[in-house]
Amino acid sequence: MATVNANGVDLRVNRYRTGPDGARPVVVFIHGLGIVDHSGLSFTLGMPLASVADVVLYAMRGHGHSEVPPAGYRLVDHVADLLALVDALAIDQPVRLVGCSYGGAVALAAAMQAPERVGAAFLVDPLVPHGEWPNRILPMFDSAADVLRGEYTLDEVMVSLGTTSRRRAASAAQRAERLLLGTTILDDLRAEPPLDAADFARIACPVEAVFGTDSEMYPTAATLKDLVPTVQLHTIVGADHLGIFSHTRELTDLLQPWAAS
Amino acid sequence: MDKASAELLCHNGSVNKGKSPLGGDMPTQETTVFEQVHRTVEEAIVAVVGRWYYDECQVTLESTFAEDIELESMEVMEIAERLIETYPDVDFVTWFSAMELEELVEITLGDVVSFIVRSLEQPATAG
Repeated sequence: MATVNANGVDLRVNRYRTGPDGARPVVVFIHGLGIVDHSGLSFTLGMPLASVADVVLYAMRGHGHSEVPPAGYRLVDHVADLLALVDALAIDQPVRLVGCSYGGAVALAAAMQAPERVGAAFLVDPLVPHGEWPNRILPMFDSAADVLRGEYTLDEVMVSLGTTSRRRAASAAQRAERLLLGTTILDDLRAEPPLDAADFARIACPVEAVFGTDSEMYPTAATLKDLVPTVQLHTIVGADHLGIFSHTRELTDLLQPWAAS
Repeated sequence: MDKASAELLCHNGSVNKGKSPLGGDMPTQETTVFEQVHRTVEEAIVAVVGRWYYDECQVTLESTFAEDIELESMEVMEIAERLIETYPDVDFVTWFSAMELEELVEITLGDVVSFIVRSLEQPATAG
């Protein structure tokens, strides 16, 4: 694991590649917002692609072991981090982006902002950054911040996270406090400027997306199709927003040919 | 712990020992490798979680990373990175890639040690 300074922020980065030498596509994973980082994706989706691509995973600013700057949590900041990271890693070809949840919004925004740098985008139950899109996640984060500002018990955290581990619950609460109460992320989400059809029209790369049919993101699949008519849509029946990431086999079956093509 | 790990543990623990010139059990080379790897993996975990917590967990070869040591995924990844640096010829990435999510969650210290030992014995085919 390496720490790479990109856009003035120290980001924790993992790279994976197996098999013979030679030129390959570069696939960069972008995780979601909150108490997660890139580690879960590394094991479940990233490493299985290492036989067909150069795989890069990183913890976004404010997440995991990456730096937690006090401000700068708009989409444009995450896109700047991503592009600076690609530069810092001396990747000289358009990258293929796998964006998960909020990472999907980052991937789409990167494809709008720097179409020549993004070769393809694969979105896993993405947050589609259109209309009042921050409102899809803000209530959850506002609610968590309210709990963290008050008195709460580890038992309550364990229940809300569905874990039996006091250690993991304590660590998650600490990370959530650091991000939600110690940075401008909530204000930044509220202040996000809307992206419109003209922004989406700048996307030049092929886009694929997979949605869980039980996910709150599923209704935005149609929105994405309107905004990016060439998008290739997939569904995983019965998967909700978090549950889709446990469907590793189905996701890998979609990602492998996409990454290798 | 998987069957291969259990067999390897059994193999190292009881069958594959000789007698030293002084009459005691003399560890074979294979036993020594297993113990060395065991110690290295323990050190990687301790480097991430700290000695106090590791000792508190009373970790054995059967201890699971998720349930018993209560590691977070970012800690497992950090441990994996340390092991990848220590054993560059061991293909951890392919090994992890072949696991279902449920198997990853149930991985034990003994599984990791046994995998490394097997890989060191057969670097071209392990994983």
